[in-house]
Amino acid sequence: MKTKTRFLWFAGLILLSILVLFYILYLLLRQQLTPEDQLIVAQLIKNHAVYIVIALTALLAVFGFYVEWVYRNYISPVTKIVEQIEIINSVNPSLRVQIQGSEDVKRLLHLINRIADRYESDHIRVDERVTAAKTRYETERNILATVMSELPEGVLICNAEGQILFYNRQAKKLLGKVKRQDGKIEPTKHHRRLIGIGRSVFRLIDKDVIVLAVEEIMAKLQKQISNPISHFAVAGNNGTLLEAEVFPLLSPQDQLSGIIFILQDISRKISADNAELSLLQTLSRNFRSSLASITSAIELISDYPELTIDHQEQLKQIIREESAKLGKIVDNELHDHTTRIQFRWPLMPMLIENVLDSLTHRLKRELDIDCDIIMQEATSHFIRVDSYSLGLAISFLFKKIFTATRVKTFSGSVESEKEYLKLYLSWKGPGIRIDTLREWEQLKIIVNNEEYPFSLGEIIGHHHIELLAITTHNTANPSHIVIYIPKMAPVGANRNFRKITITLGSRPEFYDFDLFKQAGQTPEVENRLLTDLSYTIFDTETTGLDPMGGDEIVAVGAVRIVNSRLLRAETFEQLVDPGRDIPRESIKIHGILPDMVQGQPTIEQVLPAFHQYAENTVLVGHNVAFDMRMLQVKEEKTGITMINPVLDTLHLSAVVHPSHDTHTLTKVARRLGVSVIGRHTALGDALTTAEIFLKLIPLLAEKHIFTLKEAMIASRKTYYSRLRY
Amino acid sequence: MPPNRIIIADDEHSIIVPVQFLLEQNKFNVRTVDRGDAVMDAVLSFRPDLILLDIMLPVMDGFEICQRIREHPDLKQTKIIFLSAVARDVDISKGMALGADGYITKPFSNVTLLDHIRKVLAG
Repeated sequence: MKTKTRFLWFAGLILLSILVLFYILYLLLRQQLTPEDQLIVAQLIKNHAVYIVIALTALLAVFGFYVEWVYRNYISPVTKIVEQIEIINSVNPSLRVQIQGSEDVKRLLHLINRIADRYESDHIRVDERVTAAKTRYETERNILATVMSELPEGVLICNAEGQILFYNRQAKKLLGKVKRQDGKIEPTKHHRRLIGIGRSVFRLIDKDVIVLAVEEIMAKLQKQISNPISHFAVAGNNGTLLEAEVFPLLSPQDQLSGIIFILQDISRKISADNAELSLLQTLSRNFRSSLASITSAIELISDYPELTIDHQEQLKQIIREESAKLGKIVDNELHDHTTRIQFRWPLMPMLIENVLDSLTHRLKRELDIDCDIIMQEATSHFIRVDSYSLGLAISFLFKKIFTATRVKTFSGSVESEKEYLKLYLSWKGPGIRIDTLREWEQLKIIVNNEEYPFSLGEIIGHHHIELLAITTHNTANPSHIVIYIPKMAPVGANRNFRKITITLGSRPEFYDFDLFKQAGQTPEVENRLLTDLSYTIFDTETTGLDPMGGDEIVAVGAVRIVNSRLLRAETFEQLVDPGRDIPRESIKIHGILPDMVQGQPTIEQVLPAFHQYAENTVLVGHNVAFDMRMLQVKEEKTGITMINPVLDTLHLSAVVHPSHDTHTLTKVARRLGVSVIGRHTALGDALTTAEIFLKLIPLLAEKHIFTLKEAMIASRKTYYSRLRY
Repeated sequence: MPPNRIIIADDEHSIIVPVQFLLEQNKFNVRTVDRGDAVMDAVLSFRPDLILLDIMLPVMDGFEICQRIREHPDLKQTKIIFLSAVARDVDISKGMALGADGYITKPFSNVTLLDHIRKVLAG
């Protein structure tokens, strides 16, 4: 119940009490009188009824005026004083209470404002000290951040739930979505790759790959292997291939608290490596060919003295030409190529049985293919692999075999021969021809409809693996493929790993590490604390105010709040081609001219990107019902439904400041000490709203509103919630 | 007894010349082919007893040719010796897996080549 209503009830009750009291007095007085006197009194009242009514009305009017005066001068100011003191105390110490009221109220205000002055100066002193301490901390942090951002490698850190806690510029470049030079977002293929604090790392790197890496690390931890790290390859932006080194972040109890990924573009390494391989093979072949010609010719000349002069000359010519060819190879190709080759794509030593075990599980899981492989030898062999890319390649190969043969059951065996392991994969059914296999080797790997930037041939070539298809017409002998895998000497020749396994007890200074304490993002959003949720604060600019009458969006701006931190570096700002004219009245407000939106994406193209940007967050806006309606009318056309929970700062302001009549963005900003920059640009308004929202959260807490659900219930009760567009 | 027929399938003139001379001096009936895609036609028309087959041939490589010959019902008796500068164990293994009768790596001595050919022809 509002204060005014409560006070009116109170005044009414007093009035009623007085009237009842007078009536009781009248009844008591009447009992004391004789019947004659009672008649005389009744006669008197009757004769002077008009005066009595006038007197009573006058009394009532005086009472009414008095009540109104008391409300205006005492009650209303007190309510407003309370609200403003709350603001001074929480978000804006510079605010001074300026309210009309009685002399008593004025004296009170004078005292309050003096206390506020003292509070503010104390506040400023504390702030200065905090700022000084923070500056020292920030300096240290910035040094670290600068080092991180200047690293040639991408660094990405996430917690155990997969939420990103930190990433550097290079990581964003390698993994994040691509913005074209004209500022537009690249088409949908890269939309799913949104890098940002608090976002899921699984949107950037396949979850299975990370799980595999974590399992490998955990296994190494259990065996107490020093530097328990893992490696894998992953597709990067623009068709690049990235190598990821995975390091665990361990709690003091040696539990996995987070993961560090160090990323580098190895596309060049791969092509260099393949070039090296191809060069060596060519060199060997050319040398051998030339030597064969020379040897054969020399032997013929010496073994057959009866050779004609012509024949002898022909053979000598061959010797001369082939010798010259050998010299040329040494001078040119060998020199040119070897100077270029300096990279290596990292291949990790793994036991063949572990690789095969992982592959057979993968085949079963992804393609429902049964593959039973028998190891012929008891001794285990190490091979050098990148388990991720090899897994992709073998999975792709089996998919091709299945498509060609419709066979889903394979048997396999591994034999050791010289420096190779021969993996026989057999099946009962039509065979695969060598030329078919060669065609497949040229194809880019496609798994789950995603094309990877490398071909089957490139991956197996890099592993020095070779394939051979054997067809047979004998039904007793099944068709098979032989995979030749080079063996390696057992570990020891290991890479020189970085020693950066970090223990949390050593307090690493990255942003937002308190996210470690958070539970997963999904469970029961409504019951989560407002301070724990992630938000997308957004605003739209439109051609007008009638979403149902054909008005369209011309700009969308948004910013996110994660862990009570406004992420200014991760904004969403996009002009939108409305596909219609922009009325002059609306241009006056937002300043967006028709030629500015020409060639910009339409709302059908922008909404999917915005939908993804806002995924797993609570949407927040000022008077957001309007913006939501604008988005809703596009549902059918875009196929995008925003299902995020929604909060409105207009409602929330009315919840914390019920005595204030106006809750426009500018007024609320001023009240809460938020500076308004870029008013009526979508991003500017979104940023202002975001700062307001951050200041509203502690004010809501003072009203005992802590969770999203409580905020929504309180919002619903406010007057503004009843507005409908 | 008619002389044994041999096809030399190699794209290097510098190999074809001495090997052809060597074989002709040793009473073999020789034909040469320098493209992979021409080998099958030559084999079917010339019906050689033995083919000296290079691996790195233009258009179609030696492995594929070997597979085709071994699949052909009329060419079961045709012997195949790979004569190749590709000398890795894996390639030798591949060649033998495809049903070749021998694998000679370049460079080779003429005596070894002749011995190998004679052994293979003798069965």
